[in-house]
Amino acid sequence: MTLETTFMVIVLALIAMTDAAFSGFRASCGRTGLVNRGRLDAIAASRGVFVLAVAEAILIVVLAFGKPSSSGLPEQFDRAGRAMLSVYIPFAVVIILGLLAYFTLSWRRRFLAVAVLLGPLTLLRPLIAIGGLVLAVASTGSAFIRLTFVAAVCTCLIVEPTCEHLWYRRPKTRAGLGLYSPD
Amino acid sequence: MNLVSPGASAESATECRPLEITDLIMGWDEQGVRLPISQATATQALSARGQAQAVRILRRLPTQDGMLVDSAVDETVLRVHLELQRLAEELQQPRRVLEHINLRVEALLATATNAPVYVIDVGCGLGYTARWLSARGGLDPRVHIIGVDTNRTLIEAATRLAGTERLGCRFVCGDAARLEGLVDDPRRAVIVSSGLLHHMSLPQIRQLVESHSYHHVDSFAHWDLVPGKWSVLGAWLFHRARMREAISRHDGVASARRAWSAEELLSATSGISANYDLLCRDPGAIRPPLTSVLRPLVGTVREK
Repeated sequence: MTLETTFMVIVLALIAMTDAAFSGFRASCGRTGLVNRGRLDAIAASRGVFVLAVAEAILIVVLAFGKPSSSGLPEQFDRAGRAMLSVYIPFAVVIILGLLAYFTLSWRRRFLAVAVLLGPLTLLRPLIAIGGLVLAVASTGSAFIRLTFVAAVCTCLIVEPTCEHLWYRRPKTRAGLGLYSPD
Repeated sequence: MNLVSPGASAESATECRPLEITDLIMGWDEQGVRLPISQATATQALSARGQAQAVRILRRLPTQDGMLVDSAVDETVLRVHLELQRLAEELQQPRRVLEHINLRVEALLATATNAPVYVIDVGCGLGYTARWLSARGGLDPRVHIIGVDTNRTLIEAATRLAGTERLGCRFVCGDAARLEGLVDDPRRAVIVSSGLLHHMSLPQIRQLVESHSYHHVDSFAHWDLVPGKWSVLGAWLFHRARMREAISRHDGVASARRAWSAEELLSATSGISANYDLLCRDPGAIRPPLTSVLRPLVGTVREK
């Protein structure tokens, strides 16, 4: 694996982990009702990363067993990864700008970051994920590489519903409300 | 900014406003006894306004002999209000309330050394604003924070949430317009609400403000959505992106459609009392209300 390909994999992994952390956070939102819940938010984010790590680990094991012995595979992987990053990096930059705005604007204007950037981008996220995937798939002729990228994107998209299902679907009954804490 | 002053034409057509599902599925009588809610009746009310989607959502709620099952309704309404708290968080609503009440609270504290000052959040729901003020407001210990709501389920949950975080605020189940027995001296009370007014008709809003005047409260500020297409679009976007419950998504948009304009609010409350200066401003129709999604109807006691 070349240095460039290694760097590309690291960038993709960082984007996936950050997305997973936010997915975990989103799954937990509107479930606790507490005012001071920084610790719970951190736990939710780490749960997102954990779910992604488990899903990716399973994926890597499965793919390792099914990997064909083709000599051009690293080049094809590299090409598909670059195509995917051409969509994901601009999206990630906009998200980072939105977050910077959120944390640097005065509290009166903080909502702007959510209303103008972060809220709409949450809605666009699945489309962006699929858009990057389409470019990656179109850039390679290898069925194995295509399958790898499809599976990788799917693991990212299932993090939020998985977290919700595992930890945050519990109905907040009158008895439970106020006693809610991380399991 | 359009500054609208009280005195323009009064009543507006309330009947054509869309209904919120959460307003239809729970109810209590004056003694606080839970009223049984017929699914058919609630459905008819929604159908009459052409709210087909709301009808479909309502029909998913469990029933027994045609009546909505209280425990299922409670769970649903709690989930909706937990999600609704996100909106208050992202809009920084408690900070807005704190910024607004600080001056009045300080002035009242200065008038008497030991007498308490009351901040009363009417229609408090899960009491997020009251709990936030209690947890992070940094208010003087002589400031008593009280949340009031007619919804017993939400008040019980708010009390539990405050207990979990060991907060000093308290929650009372009752009518927002009645302060008897709630505080010792209503003249030392600052009344606030967030997102309450669109649940009420204009005559009810007038009644609420009349009650403030009757009790001679120090001041009041009722925040609610600015009406208009921007608010409807923003509500749709926010609720699609952040809410999971179908009722949350429906009611979020319905809230924006139900919102009263500053002109309507000031007309409805005009002439109630010479004791208060009333103020309510809507941003212009063209500019989106990005930093003032909720704006207050403010009543401040006139200096004598």
